[in-house]
Amino acid sequence: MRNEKSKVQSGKSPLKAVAIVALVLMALSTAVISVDAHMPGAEAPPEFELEPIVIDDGGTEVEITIEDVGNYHGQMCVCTCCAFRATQLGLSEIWGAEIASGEDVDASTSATTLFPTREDIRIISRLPTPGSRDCFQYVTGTGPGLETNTKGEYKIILPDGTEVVNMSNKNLKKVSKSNTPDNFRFDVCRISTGECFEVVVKEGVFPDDYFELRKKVKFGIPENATDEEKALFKSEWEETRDTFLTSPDWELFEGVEEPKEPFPVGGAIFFSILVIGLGLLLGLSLRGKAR
Amino acid sequence: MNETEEKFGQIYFAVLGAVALAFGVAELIATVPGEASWGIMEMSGIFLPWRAIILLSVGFFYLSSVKNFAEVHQLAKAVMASIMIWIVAGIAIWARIAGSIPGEETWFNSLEGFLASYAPPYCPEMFLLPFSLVIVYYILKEGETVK
Repeated sequence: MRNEKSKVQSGKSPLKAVAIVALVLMALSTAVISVDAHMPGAEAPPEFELEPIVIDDGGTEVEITIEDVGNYHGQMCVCTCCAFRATQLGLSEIWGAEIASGEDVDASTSATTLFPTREDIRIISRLPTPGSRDCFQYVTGTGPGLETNTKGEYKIILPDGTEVVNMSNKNLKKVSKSNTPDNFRFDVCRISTGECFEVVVKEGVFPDDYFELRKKVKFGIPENATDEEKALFKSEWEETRDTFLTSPDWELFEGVEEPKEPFPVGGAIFFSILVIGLGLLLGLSLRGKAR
Repeated sequence: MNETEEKFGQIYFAVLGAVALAFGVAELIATVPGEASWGIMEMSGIFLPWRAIILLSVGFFYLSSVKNFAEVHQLAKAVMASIMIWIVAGIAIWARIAGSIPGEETWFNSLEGFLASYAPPYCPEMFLLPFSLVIVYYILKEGETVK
């Protein structure tokens, strides 16, 4: 009997362990969900394909993906996605031609590299938000907890010319209360040559009432948001994030021309054959009737 | 139809039949993933299994018509196979013509958009269409013989 009892007891302990492990896993998964959802209840982004940002970090080729930046920040929010796309565009506009032709883009060393060097990158952002800060700091290697060989430069200068030196979450949230579309401007510069490209988010990327709703929902200015307004902001937030993840550059940023599609030669040939074929068929049938 | 014409017809439609059969098998295989492409050839669409069956039949009809090709019943098989190709390819071409006229958000398409509608990829039946027209020569020849 004792033996049976001890067997039963020993059978219970693995069950307990499984239950504990399951509970721990459940707790961890909820923690992950809460981190992933910057906007409470926000849906996961759709499938997207974004090329990584490739830079040279003191001789080491570094690939930075949007997921890397999202993990560093804690979530892929609107500002993180916008900052990532802006950096991609800025770097390609300034270094693009040289990267394509394989020239030496590293002016500070004699080594031949095919990517912008991290120490040659300067980003001046008008956007005082933690999401964009984390993205730009990740790229320039200036953020806390980042182990990089070299560092670029990153500054926040508001549209009125004020430099935001205190980049703590608390201060950025305070400064970002009155954000407008005008804050979504970023200068991506090449320090060695002084070249800069200003990335400006196009009108219409943000819904018209986005910033008003943001103020209400996030800061209760001028009054607390209603449930309907909160739901509307959530859907606009998701939509804007998805736009930054999936739209091409010319739809997101000013000054980027839509690449012209090549003339459809194949289509023209096929259409010509079709017309000639139908013409011959018609000719033959008319000839047959005439006979 | 003289002997040379018959010999040419036999070889020609044997090759065409084999090609049609191969395309039919390829389309049948493509029904599993739902689509497949090879160069400028694409096999896709909701009617893919039916088109595969039609192409397989075309292949069989052409191949079975090869023996004693000059005989009218045998020739009829080749004619039937060709008509099957014309129907399927004709539908595909008509779909392109119909789709090429209206624009995405406008009543009429731009010239580039119009021509782009005719650009590759094409379905296998459209590749077989010009080669299947050779049967018209044999139909005319048969008509002359009957007269």
